[in-house]
Amino acid sequence: MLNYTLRRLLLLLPMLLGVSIVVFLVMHFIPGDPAQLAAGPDATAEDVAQIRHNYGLDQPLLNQYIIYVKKIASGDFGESFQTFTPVLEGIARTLPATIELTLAGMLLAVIIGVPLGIIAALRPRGVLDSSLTTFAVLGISVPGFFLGLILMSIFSASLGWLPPTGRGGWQHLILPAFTLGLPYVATFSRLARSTMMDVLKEDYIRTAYAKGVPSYKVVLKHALSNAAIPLVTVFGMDFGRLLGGAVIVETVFAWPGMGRFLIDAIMARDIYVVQGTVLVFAALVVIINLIVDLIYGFLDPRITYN
Amino acid sequence: MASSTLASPTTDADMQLLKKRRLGFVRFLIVNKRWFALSALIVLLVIIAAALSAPLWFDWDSVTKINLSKSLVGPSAESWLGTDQMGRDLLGRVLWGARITLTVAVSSVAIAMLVGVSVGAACGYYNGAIAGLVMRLMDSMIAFPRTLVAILVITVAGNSILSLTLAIAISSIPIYVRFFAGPVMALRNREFVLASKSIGVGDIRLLRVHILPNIGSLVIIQATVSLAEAILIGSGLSFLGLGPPPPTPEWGSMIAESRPLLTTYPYVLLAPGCALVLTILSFNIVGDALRDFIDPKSRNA
Repeated sequence: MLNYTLRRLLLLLPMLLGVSIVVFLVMHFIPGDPAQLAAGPDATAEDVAQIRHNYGLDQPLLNQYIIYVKKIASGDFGESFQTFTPVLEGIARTLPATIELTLAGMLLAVIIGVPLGIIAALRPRGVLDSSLTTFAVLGISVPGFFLGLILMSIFSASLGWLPPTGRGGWQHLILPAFTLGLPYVATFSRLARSTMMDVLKEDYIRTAYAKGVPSYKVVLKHALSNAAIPLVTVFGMDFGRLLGGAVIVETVFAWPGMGRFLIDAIMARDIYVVQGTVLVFAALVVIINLIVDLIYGFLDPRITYN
Repeated sequence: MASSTLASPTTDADMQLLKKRRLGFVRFLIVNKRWFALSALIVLLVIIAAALSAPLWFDWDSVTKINLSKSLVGPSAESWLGTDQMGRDLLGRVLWGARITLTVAVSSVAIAMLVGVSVGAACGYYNGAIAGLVMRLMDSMIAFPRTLVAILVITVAGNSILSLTLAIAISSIPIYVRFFAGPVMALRNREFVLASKSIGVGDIRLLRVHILPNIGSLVIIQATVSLAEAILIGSGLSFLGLGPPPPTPEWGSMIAESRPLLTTYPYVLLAPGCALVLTILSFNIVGDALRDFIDPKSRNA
């Protein structure tokens, strides 16, 4: 297990390196001269040349990449062209908000979705089951930004129950987390339903019932623990999509997270901020998938890592 | 995940089933009492008709030219949905929005399908070291948030309808490559393919005549569902300000622009919003029904 963890951690390196190459090349092809942007509109040609030299932008592409990787390895993500503060500072400021939002969204999806799916699996073709099917299509069809605005107009503007924008106490978190998590409530309930239905057909479930185990115990202990693995897999696969959704939800609710930070930087062509945030987004996805892989081992002792 | 929910028709029993069902899609919906899906299909046809005929009812100037003297006039006989904050006819903008949304969605899905199916088929068919490398590359790209890939493409290509289309297409290519490689790999070892190969049929002809026609139904199902997703992602990007620049009537950017009117003039926001949800919903429902029509085994999956 330890061996496997270490090997997976080592695998992180080539993946992050690959991502850094892609991001570096994309940034290189962005139209506009970063040195000109950094120097401002009324800089002289000498100023621009000086800045280009300072940033190493006059060197060959390969050298630029090596400088860039070396800097990142030592924790230097460059400076923002707009605020002249280190990019890493901006990431450190906005990352916790993004993580808070995505985890809350996922948690909401699991807490609501999984029980709904289990109940639907216990009464297939019942009222809940068929309404769940309709709800699932609706859940993946309503764009997050539209849902967010509708929820905001109902719960903040009309009823005044919850704050419309910003980050603060748990009241601020409810609307954004719900907006982000709703499509995944549908995903998780559908998945929980179908895996539970498969598991409930197994012999050991019949044996448990025959032994006289109370039915809530059969469902929650025998069945759910075996249905959990596909759920964790999808959790890992959907995490990246959830982060993508967070970029939009953060904009709707003026949530001070990394997605908002990234979009503002793109609008201002603030290259180092874009580069840094995209790298951190990619690293987050890779790390979450690593954690999911490791969780398998705890969930199912039959899985060995060789 | 998508590949496991869709079984490709590869056994002889499936082929028999395919031959038996020669009824049309509409008759399939009626016979099986799929009224919900049938109405979604009708809604979809209406939306497509609206998108095609938009220039007949409203010229481009009337939906883009700013006329502040007519700003935010309520619904009337002259303009059925009223006007937006810039005094432009809201119905006209929603109809033109359908045209732009569908153009972007259809062309992005077409580009992504073309690349995805050919690369996926080649990877599944040759299945060598290079194919393995391509597949690993696609795996790591799938791990990357799709919205982020699209955002990066737009950052490079600028704000326009074309770059929005490319952004959606590029961000979905890895999904298609992975999706189509599997079925092709399975087909490659089927008797009729091996038999053709043994009598000296070349690779290109084999792919074109024997393999690609057999994944045709998969392409149709995947395309319908992909259209829904393309619209979802495209409108999201436009909402963020990364779509075609104003005054282009795009549903996502219309919603973003009318945000300050959310409580005062909600219909300015609700009109494009409802059109958007209705379109995505219809594509998803029709896609589901199409899957059941083409591949009946997956119905209870």
